[in-house]
Amino acid sequence: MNFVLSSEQLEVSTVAAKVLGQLVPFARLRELADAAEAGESALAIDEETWRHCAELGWFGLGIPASRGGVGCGPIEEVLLFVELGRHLAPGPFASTVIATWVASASGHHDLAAQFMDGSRRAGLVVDEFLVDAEPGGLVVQFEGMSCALCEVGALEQVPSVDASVRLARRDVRAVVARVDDPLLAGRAQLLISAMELGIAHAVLDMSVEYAKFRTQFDKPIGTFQAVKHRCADMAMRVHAARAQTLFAGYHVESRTPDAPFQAAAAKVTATRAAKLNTADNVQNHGAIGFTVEHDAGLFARRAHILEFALGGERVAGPTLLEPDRHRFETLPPPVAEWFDVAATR
Amino acid sequence: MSGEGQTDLRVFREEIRTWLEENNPGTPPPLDTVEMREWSSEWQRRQFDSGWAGIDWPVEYEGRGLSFLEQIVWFEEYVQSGLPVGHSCFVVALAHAGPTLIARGSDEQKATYLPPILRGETPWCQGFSEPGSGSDLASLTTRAEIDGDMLVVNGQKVWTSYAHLADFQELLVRTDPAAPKHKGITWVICDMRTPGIDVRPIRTIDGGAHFSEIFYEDVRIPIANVVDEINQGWSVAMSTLAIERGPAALDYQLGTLRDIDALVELAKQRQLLKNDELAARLSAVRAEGAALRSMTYLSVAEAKSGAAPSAMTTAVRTFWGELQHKVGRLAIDVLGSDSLELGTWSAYWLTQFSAGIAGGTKDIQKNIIGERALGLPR
Repeated sequence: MNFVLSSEQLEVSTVAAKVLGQLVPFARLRELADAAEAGESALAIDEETWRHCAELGWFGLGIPASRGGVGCGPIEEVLLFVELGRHLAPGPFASTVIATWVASASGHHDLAAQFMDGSRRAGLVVDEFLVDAEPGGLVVQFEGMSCALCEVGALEQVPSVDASVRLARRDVRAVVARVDDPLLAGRAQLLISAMELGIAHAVLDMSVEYAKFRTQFDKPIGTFQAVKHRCADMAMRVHAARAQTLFAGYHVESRTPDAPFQAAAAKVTATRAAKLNTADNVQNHGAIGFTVEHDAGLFARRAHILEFALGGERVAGPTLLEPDRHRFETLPPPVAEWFDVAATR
Repeated sequence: MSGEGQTDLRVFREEIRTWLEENNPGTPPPLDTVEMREWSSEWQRRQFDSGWAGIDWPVEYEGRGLSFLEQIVWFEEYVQSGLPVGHSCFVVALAHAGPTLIARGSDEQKATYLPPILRGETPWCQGFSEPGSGSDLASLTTRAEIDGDMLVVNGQKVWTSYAHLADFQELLVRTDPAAPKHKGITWVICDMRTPGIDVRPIRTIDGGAHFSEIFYEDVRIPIANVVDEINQGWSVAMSTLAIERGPAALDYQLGTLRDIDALVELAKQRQLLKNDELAARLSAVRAEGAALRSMTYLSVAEAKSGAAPSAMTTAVRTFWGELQHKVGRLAIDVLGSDSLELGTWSAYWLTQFSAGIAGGTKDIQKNIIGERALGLPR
């Protein structure tokens, strides 16, 4: 579906994929996770890598140029976060980007500048936990339509299902900044959806490659309908999640009244794609997929963390069920342009 | 609507909404009978007279010649108005035969067949599947032998919707039995009133009576009715199937979103949203409904951009079928034992069994996704 994206937008994906492949290949991801598990590092990612990402403008991608950002929109953010998901990038990328929005929109421009230049990060409150919070740092907390930046209290680390993600018990103190914007939660859901989409797509590619190469009974296992159909199911989920995340991105960009509904639909669709595809991917690989040496488990674990980020389906559900109907009447202008082709047939 | 922007689109949408309110037939179409043909014909004619038929069809064939954007807005408002979608003997003509002729027909064929379709004069049916050729459609054996400037057809078709009401048929026949199976097929326009055609009804598990099997005995069809060239039928049929799996179904797909909305409303009335399991399944189908629309719009946009239809178009169709399965089962779970009485939702549940079969079973479609989109070995 790249035909609806501009070459500048596609460049965001290309650059991110290249940079992440160099900075955090899976071998590096495992080193960082081992260091965290051994208690050798309080951080999910090293400072040098983080600064490098800041220099690329990733933390101010969606902040207007007049306020020191790059001046792009939700679509570019989605494209960046798809790659962050696909590469299982460790570190509080989504929560720091959200924190930059909150700091910038609430007039805390110095704070926003610190997020953008990579000298500060922000973690995320997920129910009773803090994800990737740092001692004396800040965390992002959503409450309905409101999003707050809060100081972290005592940081009591607990073992995380995903060793690349630091988990601590929730201890949140003073609110530093707050923004009330019905679109903020939706825009944040898109960052998580995009990472889930990246994961769902990565494991689809992994399964398809394996199904072509692995032979049993003298045939590639991809010839067997049981495997082929599971791969087809994975592809359909990726296709649905990608279409909905992109479509919701246009709604958020155009600030349509339907944007929160569309973003919630993206979150649910992408969450299902990530959790079901990572599970199918383990199955497609058989016993090797169950070993710690194989990457299949890394994807399943990260998908599990992201499922609950921003409240998951329990938060998205009411937004989806509240309206009396699907609304068709607010087609975002960029979507309308797709069809604005005179009858030439 | 190039360069005019959103205001004009809103005006266009408002115009459609008002027209539909004022012209809504008010009664549902009669089921599968000659009265259905009259009802549908009259309703199509009324749309045509007001300029709402063939919105994106070329003006020279009596369409409006507007962009697909306006056509989408029409579908959206039509579905929103509550008018029934999907059960009409004009579906094949409008959504299938028409677009295929526009893409592959001769100028004479277009001039002959397209305007009567838009005016609601000529229902069409499809003649693809055979008793021995379902998922393996290209193995079809209905034979057509060339006799001067005529084709002489013998064989049998099956699962044909509205054959008993149709004037014309999109008929696939084998013209070269010696050629490889995809290379010996021809796509021909068959007049259903030709002698030698015997239409026999087949009842379906949802109580429907629109299905038929059709027998052909020395049916003589002019070679002038061949669309594209003799033995090019598979390629023509594939362009038809691409249409069937994509834009042609857009109003039905939006209809599924409306069905989901009705089900959510029913669950609210029955105070079932406090049931966590039902609420989760309902919000999931709502999300998947939204995703279906997004996928379809992207798929249509891809087709309109001139890109070759990707195999992922098949994924949209399959995703939609599975969504209908979920909605059907969910309706039963919302109704509980009230679903024992034959009604709207129990009928929906019975009908959704066809969603994994019609237009190619989901099993063959998943093979297509696996092999053509993902490159898995056969």
